[in-house]
Amino acid sequence: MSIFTKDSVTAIADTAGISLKEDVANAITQDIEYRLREIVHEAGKFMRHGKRLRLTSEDVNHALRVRNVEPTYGWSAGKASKFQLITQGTQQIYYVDEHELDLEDMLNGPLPPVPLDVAYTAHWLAIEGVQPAIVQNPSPAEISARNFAPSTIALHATTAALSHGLLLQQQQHPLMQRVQSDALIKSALTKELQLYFEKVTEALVSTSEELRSLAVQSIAKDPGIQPLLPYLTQFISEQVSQNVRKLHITHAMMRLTRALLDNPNLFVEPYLHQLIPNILTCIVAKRLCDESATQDHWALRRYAALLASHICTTYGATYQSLQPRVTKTLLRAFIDPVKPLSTAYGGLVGIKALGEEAVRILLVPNLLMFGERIRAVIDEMEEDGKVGRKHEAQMCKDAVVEIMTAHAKQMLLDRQASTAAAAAADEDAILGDPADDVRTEIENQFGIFAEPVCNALFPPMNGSR
Amino acid sequence: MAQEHPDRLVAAYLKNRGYRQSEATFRKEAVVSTAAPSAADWASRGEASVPDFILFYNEHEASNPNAYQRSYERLRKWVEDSIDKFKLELRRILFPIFVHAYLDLVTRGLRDQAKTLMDSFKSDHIELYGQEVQRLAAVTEPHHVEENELAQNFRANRFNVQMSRYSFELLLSYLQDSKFMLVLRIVNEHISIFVESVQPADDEEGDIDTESGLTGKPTQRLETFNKQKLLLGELPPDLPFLADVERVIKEEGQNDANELLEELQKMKKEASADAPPIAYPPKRLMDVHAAIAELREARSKVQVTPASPLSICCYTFHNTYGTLQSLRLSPDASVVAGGFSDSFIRLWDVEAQKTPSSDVSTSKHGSRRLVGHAGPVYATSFSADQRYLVSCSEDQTARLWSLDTYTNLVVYKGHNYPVWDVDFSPQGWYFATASHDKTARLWSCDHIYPLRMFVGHLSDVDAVKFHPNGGYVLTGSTDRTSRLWDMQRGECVRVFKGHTGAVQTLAFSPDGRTMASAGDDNAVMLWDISSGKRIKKLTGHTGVVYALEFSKDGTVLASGGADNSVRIWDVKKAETKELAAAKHHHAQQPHHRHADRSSQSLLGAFPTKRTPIYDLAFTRTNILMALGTFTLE
Repeated sequence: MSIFTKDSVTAIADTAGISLKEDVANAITQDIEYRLREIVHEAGKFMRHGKRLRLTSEDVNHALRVRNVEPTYGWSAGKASKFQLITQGTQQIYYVDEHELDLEDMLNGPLPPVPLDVAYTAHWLAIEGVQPAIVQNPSPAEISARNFAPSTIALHATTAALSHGLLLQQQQHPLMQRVQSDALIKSALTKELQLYFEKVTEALVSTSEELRSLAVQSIAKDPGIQPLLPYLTQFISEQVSQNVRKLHITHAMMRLTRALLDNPNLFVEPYLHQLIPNILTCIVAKRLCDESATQDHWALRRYAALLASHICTTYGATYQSLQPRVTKTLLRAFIDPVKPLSTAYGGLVGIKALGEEAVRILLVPNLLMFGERIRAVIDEMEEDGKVGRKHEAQMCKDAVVEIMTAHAKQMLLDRQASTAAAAAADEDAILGDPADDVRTEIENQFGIFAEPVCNALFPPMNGSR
Repeated sequence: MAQEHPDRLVAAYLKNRGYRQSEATFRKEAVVSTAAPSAADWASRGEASVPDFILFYNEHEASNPNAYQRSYERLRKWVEDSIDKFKLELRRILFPIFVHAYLDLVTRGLRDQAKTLMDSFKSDHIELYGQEVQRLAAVTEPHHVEENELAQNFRANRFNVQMSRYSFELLLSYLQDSKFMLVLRIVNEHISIFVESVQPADDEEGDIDTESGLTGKPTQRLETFNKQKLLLGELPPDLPFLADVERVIKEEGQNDANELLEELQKMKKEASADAPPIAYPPKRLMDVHAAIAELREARSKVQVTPASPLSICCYTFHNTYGTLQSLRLSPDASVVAGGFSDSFIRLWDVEAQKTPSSDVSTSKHGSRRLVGHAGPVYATSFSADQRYLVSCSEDQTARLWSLDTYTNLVVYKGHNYPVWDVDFSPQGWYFATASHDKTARLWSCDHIYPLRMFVGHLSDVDAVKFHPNGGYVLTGSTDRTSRLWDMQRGECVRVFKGHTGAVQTLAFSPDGRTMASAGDDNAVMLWDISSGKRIKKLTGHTGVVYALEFSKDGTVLASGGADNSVRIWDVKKAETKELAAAKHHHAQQPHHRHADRSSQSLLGAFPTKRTPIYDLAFTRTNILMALGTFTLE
């Protein structure tokens, strides 16, 4: 309970050259505690009226003055005092570490910098009840972290237009009119942001891997780049459409997209419709590089596919039509026999990234047909010896096998579980082995992929054969 | 019966002091019956503060140092074990008994017993009376009790507790049966219980009832006190002045003259019978142009209703290093006054600011300093015609500044302690100050001494606000009450009790019938002024509320504070809901309240980045202006 110990009192008395008797020290300790609490209480009032949440030495001085006590001097330098501990025998003593300053040095030294002058900014906290997503307002991530009702936060794409200063509302108030006219002019970015944009875009299209990853990292974290968002999406679109055959650039753009999505301070939703076409391009484009045989454009397709599925899972709930539209594009890329196999591959990995459900509904029914196509290509190419297309077909085949193996494995597990449940429910029932069921199903549905899938799925049986 | 009282008291006194012979003689002469009065006697009376209890004062029990602890402990257990219906009411009595038991122990020098009592039961009261408990815990010596302001408040004033008749009877018979004379004595001396002849309310907030607590009004029931007549009507229009305005509009013949005249006609109609008579100096030609500008703005007013949400413009101040302590926007939203802890006031002409809003304006242009105070400036207030500014400071003075010459015109000395708040009358000419010295004072610009002193608060007066018709002054205090004072008579006419922390800010609705208060307990409360009853408690803020403001049509209340947010509340919805509940209450029907009541009248919460809101103001066009300083931590 007691915040002030008797030892402290005797120690302080010692410094004044007074030795205290036990009971006197006791009485003084009691009293000191009372006085201290009263002063702190009083100082709290000054803090409250100063609209601060932290007590300062000035507050304490004001409180002392109100109580007709001489204030303390030399503590109001604005810096917090650090207490140092020394142990002397059993006694622990705290003291303030103070340096002696040489007046000469002070006078001859340079003047300390002048503190910045008080200034103000005006901005909209809400427009017609909606909070615009601008730098001066907290980002959606910050707001949700502070548990504010989501209903009050802007979710409309229109408000995003406000973010670069296009105020839509007509206000009657003279002050508001002025703000509006100002806003139209000042849609230009600040110098700092322009410079940042230049540097980042330069780094992204450079050939240095180090620079690229630094730029991506910066964008994924920087809290102040909301105003740049429209420019960055524009930049991505341009680069992807112009440099569709340059792997390192498209890849960098996909990483940039990822970074934009990952940055918790950015409000990306209004720009999704601009970002998604670029991602889809990188998944299903006919040619993504000049030398398809040597360069690994498959990895880019896989990366972009993951990105698309990430967007679908994150924003799918808010925008109902998002996932169906993406799925449609991917499916068309996969089943259209006119389109090249590289596109089909993109469709494949895209659908795979969307999840087990998409694989079951979209891939499985089309496997027989696709299998025929692959077989035709492989057989045909055998004679021609055109390595490129054969390689493509092989990649597709491998991808299908991989996807279907995972799918069949999942199916098998489900069956086993349900069989076990059924067996538990009705002990007398004679049930077939679920593995056999699955195997028949695979053979019926998977066409040319059935064999490798089975091989991957049931290796021990293979061995026994 | 009435005559017997003194006799019996004397007999008991003689017995207690051991004057056996005198007692015997006295009894013989006065024919005093030795039988104790029955419980039924007390029950028949309305108040518990009956002198009879002193008969039970037991010297033996009082001398036992552990008696307080034991009695309190058993009483507390009994209260907690009683059925829910009465528990809430009975609980109210525990805090004053606890405080006085503690103070008694301290006064008698029983430090250890006092400490045990405090330590074991402190936690019960921390939630509602945290600050009081902490302050009292520091009181450990008899002479501390003498000089501690809070302890003296408790000793000098009766603690009001309201309970139903049945609960009261239960309590009395319990105390009497278990011979808790010490507790009875405390109840007798320091608590006044108002017995209501109604059933106990099924109020889930039973602990925070609006009547229990210290108000410094021991004799009078708050309810009857709050029935004094009030003149809350709007001021009658100043017809000669309006005629002047009309003449000027016609002379100038601007293209919106017809619309302005239309608006002017509306002003003429808005007179009501119950307006307080207050003298103001006559208006001058200068005011006419201001009035025309005001009319023009009123024309373009945006409707703010819960259905049509409002716009908020935020002014954020940077580089203040914690020295900016108050901000105030002028009535026409063109000038901001900031009070600094470095003793000066700074004026920013926000209308003239030409730099783009996203850049921090560092130019000195449009900013002026008013130097004169000798301590932190805690509040400023603009006069209605915006030609004067009044400020108050830690240096115990208020100062009047001219905004034409930017000089100090008058220093008002009168308070002997720091002045916390100041407010200009909506009509100008008068202003009121609130101070650490527990008083609020009324001044007029042309007198250097106060015209009225409003005395009655038990602790610092933290906030002051003029009624829209200029006839009343509302104050908020650290004693957790807000009080309404009649400016003419200088007397308190309403006490609003219910906050669980200091009241820091106040606001009147434009029609002058409703007021809002908020403060340290993070809750905003809406009050009906004429009945003195609470309409609604609005919870949601997570920090101290610094600013409150009603919209110009009074349908929406805005609040802002240390939790870096502005919240918008629906005033009307709150009213209909709680009134329905009140009806149920009178019909003695059980009613259900929703757990998320407050969130229902919350229309919106708008967080700022790291800017506590110091001031809120609706412009005449109903756009909300929020002012705050950006804090680095």
